[in-house]
Amino acid sequence: MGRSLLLAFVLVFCIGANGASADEPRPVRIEAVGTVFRAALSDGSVKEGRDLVGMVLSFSKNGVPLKVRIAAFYPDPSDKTGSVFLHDFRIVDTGEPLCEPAPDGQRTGFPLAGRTTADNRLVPGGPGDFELICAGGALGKCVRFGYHPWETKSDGRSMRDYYDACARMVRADYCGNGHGWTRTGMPIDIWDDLGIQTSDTRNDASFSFEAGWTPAGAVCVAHTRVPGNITLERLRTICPHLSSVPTCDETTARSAGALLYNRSH
Amino acid sequence: MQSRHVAAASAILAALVVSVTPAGASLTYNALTFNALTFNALTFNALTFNALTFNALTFNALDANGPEINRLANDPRGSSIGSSELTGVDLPR
Repeated sequence: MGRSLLLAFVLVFCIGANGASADEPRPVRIEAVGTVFRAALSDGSVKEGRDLVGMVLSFSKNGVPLKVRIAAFYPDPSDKTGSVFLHDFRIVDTGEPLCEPAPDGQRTGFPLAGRTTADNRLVPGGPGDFELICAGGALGKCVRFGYHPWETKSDGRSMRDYYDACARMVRADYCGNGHGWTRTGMPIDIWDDLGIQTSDTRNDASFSFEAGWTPAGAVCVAHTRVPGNITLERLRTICPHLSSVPTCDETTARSAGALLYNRSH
Repeated sequence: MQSRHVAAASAILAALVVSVTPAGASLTYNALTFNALTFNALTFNALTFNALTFNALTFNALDANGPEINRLANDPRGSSIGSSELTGVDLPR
């Protein structure tokens, strides 16, 4: 609560310092809802999504100022649920996109409520906490794969667990300590027991089972994705718990609690 | 395998063109015919290759991964910018 009040104070102060008219409503709260910004204004009104195209967010990262403008807003064309929206974030000083290209060329992103811990888990955080996520990064990909951390399954389980497991998988963060062992452009085939993602390589012998995943990392590893980065033998010395499942396949990984599975070359 | 068939077929056709050409016919004509067939075969092969490549890339791109793709994801916290660094907001006019 104290944090949100402080943020509100900072926002009001900044808007005032920027010379805005006293008659104009000021933002008193900015938050992320799903993948959309929502701004509560001092006159009691609310703006969100497309209404906030043109909004400029000022950040200070390690003392370095950075202004980001929302240049465009549109539904993710690859999203079947209709709940993912992409933002064209532009760096005000240069006009360049904030985000690097995703595999499909998108240089976009979106806000996501919560904050990421040092070992790369998304936690709810306080009111108004959000982070900017780029579509091309591991976190952005997992949202676009369909693992929406703001949703709850019918059994009450948060989809944040699937999102976190996905982030571990995309980064090949086997140990769950934030250290990824992959390399850009490595193809992976992912699936789950919810049917959000299904396997595309059942009949492709060039792909084989790699690992089963939870929010804490891999439950077991059949082979590493990039042996040049780390071999299975070396990985097992770093993360001894990975040896607890002698034969790693979909069945044993599921028994060990895996939420997601993947194949790779 | 497909490209070899096409190349072989073009060579056979070229040979036929040469064999049925009356004596004294222009060698240039035959050469052009052969070249055209070769070109077509190459074009077909190139298109086939491109189509396969495109599909493969499209498929792989769906799941291609890597923290290096996104500078935000390179940050140890997983995302480099968030509300904790927010200092101000200007609403659209």
